[in-house]
Formats: sequence, C-alpha cells, structure tokens
Amino acid sequence: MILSTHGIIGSSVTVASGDADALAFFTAAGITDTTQKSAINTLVTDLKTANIWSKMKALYPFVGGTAAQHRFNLKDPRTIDAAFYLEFFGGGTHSANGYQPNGTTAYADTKLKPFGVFNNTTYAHMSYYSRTSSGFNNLEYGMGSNDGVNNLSFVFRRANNLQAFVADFSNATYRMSLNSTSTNGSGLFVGTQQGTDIKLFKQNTLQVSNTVLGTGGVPPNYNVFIGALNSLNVGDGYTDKESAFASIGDSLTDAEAANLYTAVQAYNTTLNRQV
Amino acid sequence: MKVRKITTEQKDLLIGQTFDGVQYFNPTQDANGNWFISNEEVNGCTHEGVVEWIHTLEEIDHNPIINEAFN
Repeated sequence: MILSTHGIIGSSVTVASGDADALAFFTAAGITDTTQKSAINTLVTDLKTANIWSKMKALYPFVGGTAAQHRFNLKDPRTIDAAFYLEFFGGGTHSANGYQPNGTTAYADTKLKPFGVFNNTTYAHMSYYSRTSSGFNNLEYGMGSNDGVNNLSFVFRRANNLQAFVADFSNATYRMSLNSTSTNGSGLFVGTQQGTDIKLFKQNTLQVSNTVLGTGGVPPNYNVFIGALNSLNVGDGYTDKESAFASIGDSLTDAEAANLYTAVQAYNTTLNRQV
Repeated sequence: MKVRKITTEQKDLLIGQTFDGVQYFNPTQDANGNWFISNEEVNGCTHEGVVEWIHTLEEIDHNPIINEAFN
C-alpha cells in the first residue's frame, strides 16, 4: 500500500498492466517481448490522446515477427472475420520488420468491406507504412477494394510512377484519383477523404490533393486486401512494399493525419525499423 | 522475377490449402493464361500433401496481368 501510494512500485505496475486495449492485443497475439509491448502500449495511448483511436476500424501493427501474430487487428484482437482478423494468401514474408508481400501472389485479406462501414458522411482513410523505397514496374496497390464500379484503394505505383489514393464511388458520379510524381516508395502513406476533398500524405507531407467531380455512389462491397487490390475477389496489382503498419478507418483531418504519422513513426522507431 | 508454373489441376489442388499452416496458396493467372505460384510459397511449403511435387515445378518469368482500374 505504502509502496504503491508513493509510486515505488508504480513503474513496474504500469509496465505490467498498461492500456487495456494493448493488454488484450498482447494476450491474443502472444506478444511477450518488453520492447514490443512498450511500443504497442505507447502507440495505443498516443492514438487515444490524439482522438484517432476511435476512428480506426482496423489497425495492423505487424509486430511479433510471425504470420500468426501479424494477423491480429490491434483495435479488435478477436480471431473472427468480424474483427477484421487477417487471412494471408500467397508468398508473403514475415519478420521483425513486418509483413512483406512478394509482388506476385501475396496479400492479406482484411475481411473489411467498405460498403456498410464507410459512407458519404464518415468517409474513409487508409494508411500503409512502407519500408521499401525501390520501384516496381507494374501497377502496384498497397491496399484496396474494387467491385467493378466502385473503388477504394491506395496505389503505390502505376506504370508511369504515379501514386494515388482513390475513392471512386459509382464511376462518373463520384470519381477521384490523385497523382503524385514521387518515385520513392518508402514512408507512411496516408490517403484520406475529407468531404469533397481527397488528400495523399507521405511522411507527414501533403503529396497532392483534389476535389470530387460529383457526389453519390457507395463504397465497394468486397473485402479490402493489403498488398494488392481486391478486384472482384481476385488479387490485382500486387506490391512488394514491406509494411510495418497499416490502418483503415474513418476520414482523418490534416491534423489527425499528422498525429498518426507522429505516433506511427515513434512506434516503428522504438522497434528500430523506421524509415 | 521468376515464379513457378502449375497446371489447372495443380491449381485446383492448392486452392484452400496452406503452405505453412497459416498462409494459403494463391494460384494466380498470368498474362499468357498460365497458372503460377510464387517461389516463396514453394520454399516455405511445409504441407505434407504437396511436398512430393511442388519443388519440381518449372520456373517461368513473371508476366502479370495489368489492369488500370481507374482513370
């Protein structure tokens, strides 16, 4: 009692307990390393302090180093599809640095269908922390869902070296694509839709923004893939960018996108895998 | 980049199976109509049922289908 009151054992209690959401994740994903636990705990508290946590639907910290551990959604670490528990397909590589799709067959199925999760008032964001700077000659999606009419996706690279965040609902009535001529594929990419504006940030710098050409339409009703675009339940545009974090959630403001960068960069710096 | 060519029958055998107990094979079709899996799936394969033939698959150049899904 006295020791606790005076904080003498306070620090050990804090490390052993931590944030309840972080604790649930440790238990589910089998995270035992103290550095990894500290990094996750700080990430969760930083996101909560910045009021970003509540906007997240899926947070994949890719920590632990194995495919089994990388499946867990930090926001809801249950092992069911409704918790957006990842299912890996193809030849991805899992390590202490995160999840690296192979650019030919690998992706992670999030089970998250944008239709029914996002709409024209909440909108959406996607983020992907890429540790791979080198180019790739094909169309390369970081993540996305496409039902043939509606498209919510993040594009690292097309054949002409353009980068984009796409929220294209019902083609001509709600078409958005943003292009940046950057050829560097590394850093935290954040694509966010803010009402009639769509923006793409990389490493806390606005790459490009644009406004909608129309309104209406609905988000696609196919699971978002990470590492490729889910085009009518078939992987398309596979990437080889190693991911050390990915998120899907409601729209972020410019300030929230900046705070997400700060939190994620600190998280990966603690794990010694920052770019 | 090289990948491993598989037949349609082999594709059907691999769908729904994991190669390491966690990650699923993802047979994919290329621009020439060939089915293939990646070297990472082959090299990481621990599945007892497919190891007899999976390491003998022919290597071919990766020739992906490229779709421009938006303007």
